[in-house]
Amino acid sequence: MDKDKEILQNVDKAFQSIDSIESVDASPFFKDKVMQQIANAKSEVPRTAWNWFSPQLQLTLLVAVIVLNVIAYIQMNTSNYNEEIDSIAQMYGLSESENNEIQFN
Amino acid sequence: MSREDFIKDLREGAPSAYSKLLDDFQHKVFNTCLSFIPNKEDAEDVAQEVFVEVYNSINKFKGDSKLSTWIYKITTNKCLELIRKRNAKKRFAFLQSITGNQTPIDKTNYFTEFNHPGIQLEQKQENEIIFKAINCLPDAQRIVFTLHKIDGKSYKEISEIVGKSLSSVESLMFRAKKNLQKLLEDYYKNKG
Repeated sequence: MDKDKEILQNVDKAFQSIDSIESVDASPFFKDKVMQQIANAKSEVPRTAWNWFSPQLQLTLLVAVIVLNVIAYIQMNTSNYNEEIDSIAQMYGLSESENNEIQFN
Repeated sequence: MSREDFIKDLREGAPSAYSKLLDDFQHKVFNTCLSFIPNKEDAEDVAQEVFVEVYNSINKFKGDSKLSTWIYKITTNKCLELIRKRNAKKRFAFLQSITGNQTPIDKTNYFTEFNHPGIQLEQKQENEIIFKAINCLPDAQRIVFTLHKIDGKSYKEISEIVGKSLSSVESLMFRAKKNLQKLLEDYYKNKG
């Protein structure tokens, strides 16, 4: 019984202790620190519409374009480009030899 | 200077406006931070973040509430952000109470070192215990209890800050007191 009473007294004491908390002033340098942080935030580079185009993305895109060009160049050198053009020309009757034949006949 | 002109100057980033804002609010915001975070250094860091956030977000302030209400809303959110972050780190060490989901008051598991400059030495132990009990409350109850009992704000001010009706605030306060009573009783029972 006494223990219960003591517990309740301690609980009351804990609640009452809140009333003893005093308000405190911020440090004298607080304002200067905040003003400095605000000035730093101001001097940061402003965000632009191209902000999403980060240097990493730019580099990736550059590498992709170079790789694509190299592949296209290799492809062009290895393929039988002239033969393919000739066969197409013949198919549509545009080859030089056929034209000549028509002229002479 | 009218309220509109002052807010316009803040939006334009005028140093004189921020200087005035700090003169008006630095101690109030610092004390609100201390009410949530009873550690001088942590509270000061959070208070600084609050003013930087005001600078960064002033364009989002619609002006439909008082500037002070908006600033206290940012303060409350910033404090809870730090508490959540710190509590998450210490979560592994927490033990669930047998009675329910409430966490027992455990002196070793508080999110910061107790160092409140406004606390009297002879009351330090009781204050520490009640702050640790408050840390076990759900966020909504914690906010209302802290703002009213520790920071000394009225129910009306709190209802504007948290965006709830007056009756909701009263109800949260009632539940917070009830839960704290239970937590403290359990603590002293186990201690004795």
